[in-house]
Amino acid sequence: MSAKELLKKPKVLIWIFFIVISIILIGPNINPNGYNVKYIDTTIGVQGINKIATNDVIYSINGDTNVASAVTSNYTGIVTLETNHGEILLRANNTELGLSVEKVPSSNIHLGLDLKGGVRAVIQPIINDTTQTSLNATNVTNTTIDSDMINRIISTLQTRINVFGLREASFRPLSSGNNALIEVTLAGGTRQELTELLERQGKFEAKIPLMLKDGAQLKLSQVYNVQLSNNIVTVNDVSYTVGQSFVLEGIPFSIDGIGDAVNLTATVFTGNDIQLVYFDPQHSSIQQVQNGYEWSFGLQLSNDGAQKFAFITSNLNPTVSGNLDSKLYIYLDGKELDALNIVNALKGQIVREPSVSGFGQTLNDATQSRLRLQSILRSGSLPVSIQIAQLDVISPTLGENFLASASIAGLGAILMVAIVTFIRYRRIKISVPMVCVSLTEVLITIGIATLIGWTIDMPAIAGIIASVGTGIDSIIMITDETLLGKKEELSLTERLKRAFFIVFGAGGTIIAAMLPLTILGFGALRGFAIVTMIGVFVGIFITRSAYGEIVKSIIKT
Amino acid sequence: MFNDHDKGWKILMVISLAVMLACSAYLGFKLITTGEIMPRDIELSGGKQITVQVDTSLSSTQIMASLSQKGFDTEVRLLTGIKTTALIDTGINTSASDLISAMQSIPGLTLIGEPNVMEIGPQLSEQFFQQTQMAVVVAFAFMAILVFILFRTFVPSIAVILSAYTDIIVTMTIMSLLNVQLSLPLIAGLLMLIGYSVDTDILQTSRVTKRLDESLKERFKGSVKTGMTMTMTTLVALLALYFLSGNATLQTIAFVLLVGLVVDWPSTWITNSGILRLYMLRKAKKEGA
Repeated sequence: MSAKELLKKPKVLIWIFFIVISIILIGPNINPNGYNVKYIDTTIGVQGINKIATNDVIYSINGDTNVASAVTSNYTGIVTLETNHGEILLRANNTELGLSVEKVPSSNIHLGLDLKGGVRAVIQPIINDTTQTSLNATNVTNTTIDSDMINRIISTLQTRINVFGLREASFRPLSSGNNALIEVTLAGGTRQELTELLERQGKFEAKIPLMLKDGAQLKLSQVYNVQLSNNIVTVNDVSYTVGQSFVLEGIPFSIDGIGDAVNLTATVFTGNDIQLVYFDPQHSSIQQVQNGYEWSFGLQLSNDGAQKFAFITSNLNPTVSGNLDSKLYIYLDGKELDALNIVNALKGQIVREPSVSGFGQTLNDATQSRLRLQSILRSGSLPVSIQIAQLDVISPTLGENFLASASIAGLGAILMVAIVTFIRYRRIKISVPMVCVSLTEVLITIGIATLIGWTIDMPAIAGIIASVGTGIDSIIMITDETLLGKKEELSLTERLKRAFFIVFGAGGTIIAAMLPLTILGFGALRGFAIVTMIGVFVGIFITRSAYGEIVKSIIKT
Repeated sequence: MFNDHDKGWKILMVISLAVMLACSAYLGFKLITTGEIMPRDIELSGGKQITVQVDTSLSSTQIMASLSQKGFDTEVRLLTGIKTTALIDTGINTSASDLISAMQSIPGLTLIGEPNVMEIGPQLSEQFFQQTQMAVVVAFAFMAILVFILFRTFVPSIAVILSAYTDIIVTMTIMSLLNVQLSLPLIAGLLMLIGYSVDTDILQTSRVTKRLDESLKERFKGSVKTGMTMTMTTLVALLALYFLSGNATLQTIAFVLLVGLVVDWPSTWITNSGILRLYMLRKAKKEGA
């Protein structure tokens, strides 16, 4: 059978099809250039920053191609970026650009922590009798850790990572016996970052800045006179300078600046004041407006919080835009998260159920922004406290080195296998296809793993090795069953049938051995089991079948 | 048609069965007296483990002694290959950064690159341990069921299962004697071994029971040839992996499989083989030779 005829056989065609698909899926990028934008901080106020979107590629900043380090400097004036959308100009005022970048990867293969470096932790929610948070969103009275609770914890942590972390973090609920656990992976992160993120409670504050001129009055339940002179502000007969703070009627004020007027920031309510966050359609909505979507949802404040809000807003003035002349700024753990408009009608009003609204350009943006804020308000602090049960810090240098050595080991192994097969069979026509077919098994397994988004980490590599090992064994079995031994009695098809019986048997035992791990084991061993099983399936149904055809053609020559 | 000239194989079979029983007894004894078969790695018992590439001429005992002088209670292992990796186990309350600084100040020991730190609480690690034990037992059971389904005859199936059992027991005994620590990669290796060792047994049993066009002796001979090639390829691949990969996990897995495959050799070609022969001979007698 010539090569042409071989190519017409369906099994061979399927095999080649998978090889090509795998190469496409892996998407090798021979000369990766540039850096992907991973996160854009728009609050810094760099002009023109909205011309850049996440996943854009930046090739140089002001001519410097080492984008990773250039992006951390401060810039003043015009900054020129070479991107995949052409040249983009920004203007900064002695600030950072607010961009977080990551080198464009050389393939689609999602490398695991072991190979990229980072932090991985397994966290465990703690059930105690006083599981009380200040935010009792759905009046949960029991404190069981069920999947709902786990999802709330994950959504809280995810929000935090998005707000504070500049890198991708992934969360995976695990179960181990009766415990519900969460695995958190932060690629490229450090131990400190992760422990800080996880151990932070999530302090939530809503503040309104006020501007009062000399002689103005600060209206709360009483009226207080405000006097300014020489950078000192006197309220209620007590004097303060910039940077100090005071509390009046339970409302904390901080003094941000004194000039012709004093800039005060009042903290109107904190996480303690929010009693309910509404998610239901009656109290939350998204509406299409002129050039986008407006979202809103309701909150229920404590009486105290509502009152404080009323007092402070009574000091604001309505504007023609329909909103008061200041905004409600939301802070999470001291960092500003959002700035919300307050409609004119709310001035001085006790609103126990205010509505928070915002704007998004697309329906998706609007939905996400609303959900994000709802999540934060609902669980700015974690619903339960958590403890870190396991923490792995994986250094990137070890990972990089590993890839290099693994490749060497792999090549060494292939070479040795080729030599052994050549010694045994003494025909290149046999050795070469054997080695090739095994190599394609690796390729297709990685391709499928990439398709389903599976990370290639240490256990995955071990799994690939496991399945390739059985693969070579099976190929040897097929070869021997068909090529050698007496040829008269049984037909070729019969022999191949018998050979495949053995192959299925051998593959079946590996799958049998791996099955319990996929159910019981978790973390590393589960990944190992799954990749091994993928490899074995690929082997049985794709590569070894093709090899059967190849062997047939070799016999006929 | 069937000759059983060489009675030597009967003796060999008895010996290998005896070895299997002896190992089982040893492990059982160890389990009863000490509560565990092998000491457990950090992952399965709780604590902190630091992994770092090193350049040193010191032995692990010397490093341990130096650290102990500085007040650190540790266990040190060195894995050699194309690179040397040091594994340092210590209690969960020890500060990793302090320990790393202490290591850096040991003369004759150079740390290369940044270290990996793994810490795990005792509760979680205990769970890991229980679960993985279960996994091994269940995997073995599944494998046994599959073998029965494949061959549908009692004696050959039992032979394969016995052979697989021998592989695992003897391998674990060797690990225990070498004081290797039980760890997750080790268990992964054992599970792989369950699959691999059965390969050669299935091959042999299938050939011997089904290939009716050849004499019994030829069938056995043929399967040895194939089996040998299979084992050799896997062996050399594992050797490459062990020496070149420079990674603790892969080295552990390679080591377990290397020992396992070496043990598999007599187990397949003596034990399994022997039982098969008896079975086939008896079958022939029944059918009237």
